[in-house]
Amino acid sequence: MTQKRGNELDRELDLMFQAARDQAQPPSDRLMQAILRDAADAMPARAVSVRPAAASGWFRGALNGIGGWQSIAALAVSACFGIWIGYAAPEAADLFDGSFSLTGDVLSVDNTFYSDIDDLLTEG
Amino acid sequence: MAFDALQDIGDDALMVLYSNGDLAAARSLAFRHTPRLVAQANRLLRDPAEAEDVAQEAMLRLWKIAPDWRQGEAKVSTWLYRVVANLCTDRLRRRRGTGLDSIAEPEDDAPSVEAAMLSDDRTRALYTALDELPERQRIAVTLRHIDELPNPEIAEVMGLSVEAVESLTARGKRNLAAILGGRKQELGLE
Repeated sequence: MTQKRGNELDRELDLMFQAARDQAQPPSDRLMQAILRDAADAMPARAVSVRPAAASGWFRGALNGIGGWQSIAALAVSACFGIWIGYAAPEAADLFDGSFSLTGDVLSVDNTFYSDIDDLLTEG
Repeated sequence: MAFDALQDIGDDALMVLYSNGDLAAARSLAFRHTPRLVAQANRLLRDPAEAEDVAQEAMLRLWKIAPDWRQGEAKVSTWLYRVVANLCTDRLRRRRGTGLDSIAEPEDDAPSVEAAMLSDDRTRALYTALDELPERQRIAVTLRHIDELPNPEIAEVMGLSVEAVESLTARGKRNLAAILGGRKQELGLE
């Protein structure tokens, strides 16, 4: 009984939906002209290429995995900086070999200080 | 390119052609989609002039997005349905904020009432009943049963899950049946 009532209801509503579909009015000529005028006005000035849906592939996946192009750029800058340190200003290392001194009269550091400590350590 | 030659070309390809300066492609897209957009907007707004404004606005948005259109991501038809649904929703909300006097009377009555066909009465009754439904039920029922879109496409248009769409359309149909129940004899349904 309930099933029969449900089917009848569906049939009645379907008739009404069909009537609504049949009554759709076509767009006016004025509208179509306006739309085509808009299309002409909005047309891009430059030619565009096909844009595929979001690119996927092993290379992009690997790139994204390490942080994208920004990470690659940071890595390149770091590498260049490291090479520069390797080649430039070796005298900076003099600070630690005991031969460097600051304004002789006030403070001096020389090899004797280090050799004294060495003596203490070795002679117990 | 000749308009006739574009009849069998897909929407995505037409978007590329238009973006590269082919107005015939725009013409093909316009004739392919505008009738459905006008019908959809008219069903939701019940105002033919406003429905044409909405359709024009939706197509204008399509022209503007054409250079950035991503092939294969969204269907042009679904995208347009969504734009029209949003534009209509905005207009309906603005209407609710205005007085009843400023709302256009529905097109009917007047001289041709006696000559109106039964389907006219059914359609009017259906639209009156649809107007009584909550907004999302009305949109879902209209897209499913009048525009005949499949549920997954409606889900995309409305930004809902397919299950939510099924629930909305089922409740909408039940509510419609309840509203129309008292008018069956008058509408020739008994």
